[in-house]
Amino acid sequence: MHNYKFHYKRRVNSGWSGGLALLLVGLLLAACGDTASPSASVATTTIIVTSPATVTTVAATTRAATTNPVVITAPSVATTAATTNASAVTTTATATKPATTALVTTAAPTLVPTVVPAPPVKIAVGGSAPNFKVKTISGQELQLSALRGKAVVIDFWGVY
Amino acid sequence: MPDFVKAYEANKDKIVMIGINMNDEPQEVADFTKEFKMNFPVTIDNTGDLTAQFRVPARPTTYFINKSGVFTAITVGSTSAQRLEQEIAKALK
Repeated sequence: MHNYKFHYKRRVNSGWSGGLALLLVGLLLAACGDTASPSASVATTTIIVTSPATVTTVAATTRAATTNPVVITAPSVATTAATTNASAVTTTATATKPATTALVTTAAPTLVPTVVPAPPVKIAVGGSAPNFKVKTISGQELQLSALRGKAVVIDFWGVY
Repeated sequence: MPDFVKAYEANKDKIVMIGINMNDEPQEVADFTKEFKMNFPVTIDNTGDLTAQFRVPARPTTYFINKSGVFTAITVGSTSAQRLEQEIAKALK
């Protein structure tokens, strides 16, 4: 048996969510402004769509000089449509500036050699080797100054 | 690299050998060290700080340092097994 009441409710809800989605897209475009302007400086605007069920964060490039978080609270019914549309627009907007995403994904290096601050020294036979501290790929920490009393061979190399 | 592995194996009780990779991709470095069975400590200069501090002119470059922390030799380019032994012996004096 069909539940007409249920169908009616779904239709009303989907129409309402579509309208809210358009509103969100409008807000997003308004926040983006004219990104084609060559004089525009690029920054990041974060738009957060929240609902009782999900939290979605999307990013877009704008001409603003600072980061401008925009928080939009949407009811759960509209979340799916609003998120889909907002993501689609955002993908287009960020496609012109992929460097922002690349920086995030390549962050957090696992090995960071530390050059111990010291006056510049002459790198030549007869000169003193500058001190440094490194963490090896196996996790061992080495400091050159701690190796005095032993001969040291340092090989700078590449895989090709 | 095999010559360095052999030289370190022959002298590891007398010297410290450090391989500083010049900012290659970490997985490549791991594969390379495994392939050549590198038995001495290896790090990755992923900031370029060490390369700049030692003013490394080319890849590879090898620095030999004696017990007092003084450079006894700097070899630019590939170092032969014979030259490695000579320079290690000089650094140990």
